[in-house]
Amino acid sequence: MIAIQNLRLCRGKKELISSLTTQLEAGQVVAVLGPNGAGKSTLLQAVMVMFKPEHGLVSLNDASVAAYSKQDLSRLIAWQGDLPPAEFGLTVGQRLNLAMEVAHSEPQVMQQRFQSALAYLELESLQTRSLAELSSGERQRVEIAAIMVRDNPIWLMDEPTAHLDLRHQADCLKLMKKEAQNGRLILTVLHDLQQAAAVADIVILLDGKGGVEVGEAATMLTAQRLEPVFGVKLKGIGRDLMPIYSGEIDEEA
Amino acid sequence: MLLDKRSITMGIALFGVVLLVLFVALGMGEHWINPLGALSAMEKMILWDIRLPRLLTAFAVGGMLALAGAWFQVLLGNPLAEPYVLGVAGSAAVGAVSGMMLFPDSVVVTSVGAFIGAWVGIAAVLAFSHLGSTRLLLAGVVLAAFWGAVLMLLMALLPERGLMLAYAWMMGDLSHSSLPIWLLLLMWSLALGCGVFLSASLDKLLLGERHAQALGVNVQSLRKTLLLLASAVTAIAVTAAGTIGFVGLVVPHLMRLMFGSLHKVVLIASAVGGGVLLMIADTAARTAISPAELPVGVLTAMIGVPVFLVLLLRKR
Amino acid sequence: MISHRKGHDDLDNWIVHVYGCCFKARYIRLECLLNRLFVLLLLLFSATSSFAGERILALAPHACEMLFAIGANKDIVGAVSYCDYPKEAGGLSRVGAYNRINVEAAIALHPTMAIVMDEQTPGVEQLRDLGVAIVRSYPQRVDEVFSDIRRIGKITGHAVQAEQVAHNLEERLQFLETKVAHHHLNVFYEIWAEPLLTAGKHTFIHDVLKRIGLINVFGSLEQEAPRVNVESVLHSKPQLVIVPSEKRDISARTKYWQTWLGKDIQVITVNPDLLHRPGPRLLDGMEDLVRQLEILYVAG
Repeated sequence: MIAIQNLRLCRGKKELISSLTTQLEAGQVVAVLGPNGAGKSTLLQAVMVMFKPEHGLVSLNDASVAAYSKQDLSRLIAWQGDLPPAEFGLTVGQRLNLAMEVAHSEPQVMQQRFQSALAYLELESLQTRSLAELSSGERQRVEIAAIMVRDNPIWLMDEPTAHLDLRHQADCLKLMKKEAQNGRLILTVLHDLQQAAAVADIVILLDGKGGVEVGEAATMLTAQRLEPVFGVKLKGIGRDLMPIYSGEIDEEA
Repeated sequence: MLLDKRSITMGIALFGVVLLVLFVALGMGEHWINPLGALSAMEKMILWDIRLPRLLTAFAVGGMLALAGAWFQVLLGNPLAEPYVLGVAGSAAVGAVSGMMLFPDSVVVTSVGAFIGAWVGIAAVLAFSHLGSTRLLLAGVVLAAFWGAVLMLLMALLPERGLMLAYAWMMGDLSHSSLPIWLLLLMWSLALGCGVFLSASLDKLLLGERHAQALGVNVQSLRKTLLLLASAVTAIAVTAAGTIGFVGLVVPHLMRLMFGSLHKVVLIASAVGGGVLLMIADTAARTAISPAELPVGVLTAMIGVPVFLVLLLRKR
Repeated sequence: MISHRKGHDDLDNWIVHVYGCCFKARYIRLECLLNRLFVLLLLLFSATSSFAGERILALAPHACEMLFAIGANKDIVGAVSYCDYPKEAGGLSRVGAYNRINVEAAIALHPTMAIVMDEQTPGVEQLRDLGVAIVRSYPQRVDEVFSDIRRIGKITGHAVQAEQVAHNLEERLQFLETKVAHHHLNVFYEIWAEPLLTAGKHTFIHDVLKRIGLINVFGSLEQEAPRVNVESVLHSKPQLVIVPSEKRDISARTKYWQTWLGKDIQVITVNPDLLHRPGPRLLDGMEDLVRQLEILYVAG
């Protein structure tokens, strides 16, 4: 579905990714991992044509993403990023309507999707509330609902579990797994290694110095692979992968 | 275009409000004249040749200022934005006062100067249009300060009479319009039409540029269009009536408090609401200390602020 | 001058007398000579001080004109912008504007006196602190123009000439007041067109119009330059519109006022430099205005 060839991303003088070549297929959940500032969000933005790469090509269904009109692209790729500003008094319902406007399906289908999204993220009672009145967790759920109401084959999610409490984090992960099984391609940035282990099929690992590795989640999510990148002691593998906080923290204290 | 029952009723209600205000304002003046009564020739002249053109000018200018204010607020992503924030009014004032200095006895030169000055200011701002909202706002505020300084310089050089005239122009005046009224009303309609046409994209822009782009909006071209449109409308309003403040800042917010934030409604309501507010303010300005007049900008604030504050407190 | 001469003769006689007497008296003669010289010098000094005059800063256009009119122009060391009459005034050093004085430039001219419009003007206080005598002149009424001319004449040592000028102006005014053709005409004084600005009760021009016998239709308004509108002008039923400007296009204004006030309305211009400036040319302006009125109303 998405083919990335020799992609090079730089922000100013800093090289984020020196060269990335990979193929992402429908039905996959691809997790992008790495330290802060490594270029994870930037990678998503480059796919979305929101960021211009130095070099390289991102193609969607064999056509360069840059060749798509903004409208067509928005029907294929849904992006969830930081929380939108709330000063202007938009309500939850209005915000979701804006997302739905882009999808052109029949009204009943849209209405159904709208209701099921509200239900899944427990937003029914908040429908008429202004975004400014909500907590950041509630606003994050609205953002996830905004992706759900559209029917895009590709989801780009930038830290979807941020601000969420544990239960909603679990719901979000479940959602991602399910939608991937329905045939969507989900490219997501995650900080939590266990969450990545729970949903990812493929991992793209950015080391923050321009290097990038792509591989199956099972092989990538090991202490040996990840410790040098994150600079924190880890133990376990897969879903049991955990940072070890005790030793160093106690010493310094 | 939503032509459902609700929209139609709202549209009729708005139209009704405008007509009512127009009717009452027409009658008010140094002497009350009943617009529907039997009128002498003199009274007819006063109503239709003096008061009506002035009210229509007020309506068009007020509506345009409110539209421009709403556009600047979404363009810059800042609720404190208003039509003069990027310096267009400042450069227009510089143009008007320069005209006054170069041709001290010409009456028409202030409007010509204002128009030219406004476009110089717009050109200056367009140079920064590719920057993000915050940077654009910063550039605009700094430019506005620059024009303000130039204006002060010019006013320091003016003789006493010129100073009085400069202030009079800047405080705004609806008693005449340098632009024909049909042109103003046409501009008002065009502006509103453009606004409604863009309203879906403007709503998405409320989510921020990245989200808007992710939803299919061509953000760069929308921002340029919006900047040009809002500035042009401001330039026309300022050329016709001087710098009348407050309408562009508060009316859009007032409308959002009353009707919600979606642009189709906000823009229509602002175009009408701004016009109505200015009609009321101008009527008060010309009757409060009759036969003399107050500057209309004073009245827009005095009337608009209490209404706004009450609504603000109620909503919390 | 006469006393001067007498002293001189006395001195001669005295010297001859004493010299002729005896040798011993030479010492006494010298002392007396010195005494006489001292008195001579004193006389000389007092005589020239009545010609030496002040060093005057004319910090208002009308003050400048007044000083020229009373013959004190040689005493002016500095002026402000718009001190443009007579032509010679153009050659005076500039020390600022009527509303902001460049104290440094002013002091460099070693002034002893300054005639100002408003003592609150920035710079005046500093001049006063530096020892310059501040004289305030801002006539608000026609009579004050005459009294100010006299007052300035006295202060600057040109009282005789000042009295002549003031008296002459008063005579001309009296003559104007006898002309009846224009009396009790309602006048709208249009200071500006867009917005419509006129003169209120407490203005100089209002008094000028009153003295000529014209009635300012907005003469009840307290503001100095009130903004009015066409409707209020209509209601006030003026018979004459006066536009203070020699260069403004009178045909356009005439057409304009004819639409609102009917074909009978008369529109004339006056020179604001003459009528608004409370100085010696005021009567030139008033006479011109009356002349225009006579043409309009006596003939027709």
